Amino acid sequence: MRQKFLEVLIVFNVEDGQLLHGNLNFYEIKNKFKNRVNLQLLFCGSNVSKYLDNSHLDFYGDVSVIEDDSLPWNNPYILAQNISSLGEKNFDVVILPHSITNCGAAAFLAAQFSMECFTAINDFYFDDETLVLEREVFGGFTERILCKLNCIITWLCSHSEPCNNLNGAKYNLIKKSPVECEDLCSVISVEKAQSFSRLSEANVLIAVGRGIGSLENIELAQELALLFDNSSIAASRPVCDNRWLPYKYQVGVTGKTVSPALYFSLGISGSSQHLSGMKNSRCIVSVNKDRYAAISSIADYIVEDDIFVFIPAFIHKVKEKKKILRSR
Amino acid sequence: MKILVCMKVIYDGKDNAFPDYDLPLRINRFDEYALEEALVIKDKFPDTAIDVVTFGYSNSVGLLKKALERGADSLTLIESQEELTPVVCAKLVYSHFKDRGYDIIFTGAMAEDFMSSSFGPALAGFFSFPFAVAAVSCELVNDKRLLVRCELEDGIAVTYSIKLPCLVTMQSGGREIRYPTLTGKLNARGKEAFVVKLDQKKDKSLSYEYKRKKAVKGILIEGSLDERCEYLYNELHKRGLL
Repeated sequence: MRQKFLEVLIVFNVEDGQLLHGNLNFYEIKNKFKNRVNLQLLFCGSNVSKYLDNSHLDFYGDVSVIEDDSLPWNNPYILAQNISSLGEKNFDVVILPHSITNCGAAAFLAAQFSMECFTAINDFYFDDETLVLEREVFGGFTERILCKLNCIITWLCSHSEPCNNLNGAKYNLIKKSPVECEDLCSVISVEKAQSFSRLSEANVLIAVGRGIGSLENIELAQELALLFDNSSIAASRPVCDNRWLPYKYQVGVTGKTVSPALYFSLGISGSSQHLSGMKNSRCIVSVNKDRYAAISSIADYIVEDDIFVFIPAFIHKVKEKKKILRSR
Repeated sequence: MKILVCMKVIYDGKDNAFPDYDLPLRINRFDEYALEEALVIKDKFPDTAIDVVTFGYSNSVGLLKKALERGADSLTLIESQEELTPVVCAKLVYSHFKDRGYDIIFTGAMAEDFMSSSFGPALAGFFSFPFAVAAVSCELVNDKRLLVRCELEDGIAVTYSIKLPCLVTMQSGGREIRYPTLTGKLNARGKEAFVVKLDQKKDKSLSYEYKRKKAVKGILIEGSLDERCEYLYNELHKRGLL
């Protein structure tokens, strides 16, 4: 018997002609569903036409567009209401790139569509009519969820670079009117992140997590940072919540997204929110008491030790080596 | 003004012990901020009634009495032995509280154990309330709208004006969490938690497995302290970083 094709919707939000939360690779998704899939795309946002004109989508299928330059698209309620305007069709799976906004929209939609919702998915595959989803949970565990279809997921595997713009293949463009719901939830102001460019400009980031323990211990990270050229300290959210460092140092979903040459993490276990802000760093060193902390899954070098034991010894070692190099 | 605050009690897992159900319990940090935001509204509008609901284990009640001591008016435990998904939990909370006429619902931005960030928005979906996520502060305007400041991706701060009734999920760090006062503790003494027992069974089409993720990608640096320092120095030196 011929197996049923799955209806999969991928949703992107666009702001002023640019994708807001990264790109997803259609071919990768098709492969994950063993090519038994009818993909549909939905672009919601402002200046979507500009994005489509520039991106030369290599895609055969239905592409729906909901475009309104005056609507605040970084609003999960408005995004969800607009996605739900496609609700007459039953989708087996809806996929959004992972972000705070998209998580909110996905869960709201799941309730309205009587679907399940799973967020911050690291990886997934389709096997024996079951969708297998993997996501990080507390303490470096991977939660593996086996579910029948009918679910909405936010996927962490987004690409910052374009990945579908090859041939500009023909697709069927369907324009839809935006849903009027702005009076219920309107945007009053949008402030860009405090202009603290050190985090994005620095070649080396020494990032501290809850394991740093106290405000006084930040000095240790600063001392380590001084060993590297063009370096800065950075932090995970709990460090900022504890007021050990200002929020402008925060890396992660609600902080800055960075990709330095070296990301040296001290006492960071690595929530998915933090990892998504630094996973594109070129080299990641993790010093943590737990070798299986979640950050170890993406780190290049893992030191399983107390940071207050290892880092002073490492600083001493580097100073010693530099002294030898200078004396030559 | 009627406010519902949803709070979760989680296992205080050490990094290498989760999920170990013998661990001590604590209140999810983000939910403490959700309650605080409701209490700030009650400070300004003393007629406000704050109901707290929690979902899960019967031993959560002792900890959540702190919410009553801090100023909440009632505490309801929806008791379930099954591990349910956030969307199913939201549906059950909705079915229990849908007729109470809440003006605002506060939840934490996420639970620290499963980090889904989906319970709050799903609850908004069932109530069909407008909502905002990852808020750091709220201000009530004319009893009709809530001004909500949220921290979204890449540190962007957005202020929304949301029409009541609405739901807001709270991020951490926006305000100082208050301690219970002596009066609060005395007032809480006479209050008991309402317990709702459910026989909701887990959806059989879902199953969960947990596995320890091995540090497969990177090199685990081993040896004596000096050897490890030497190795890491050499690697970073080879990469031109030191």
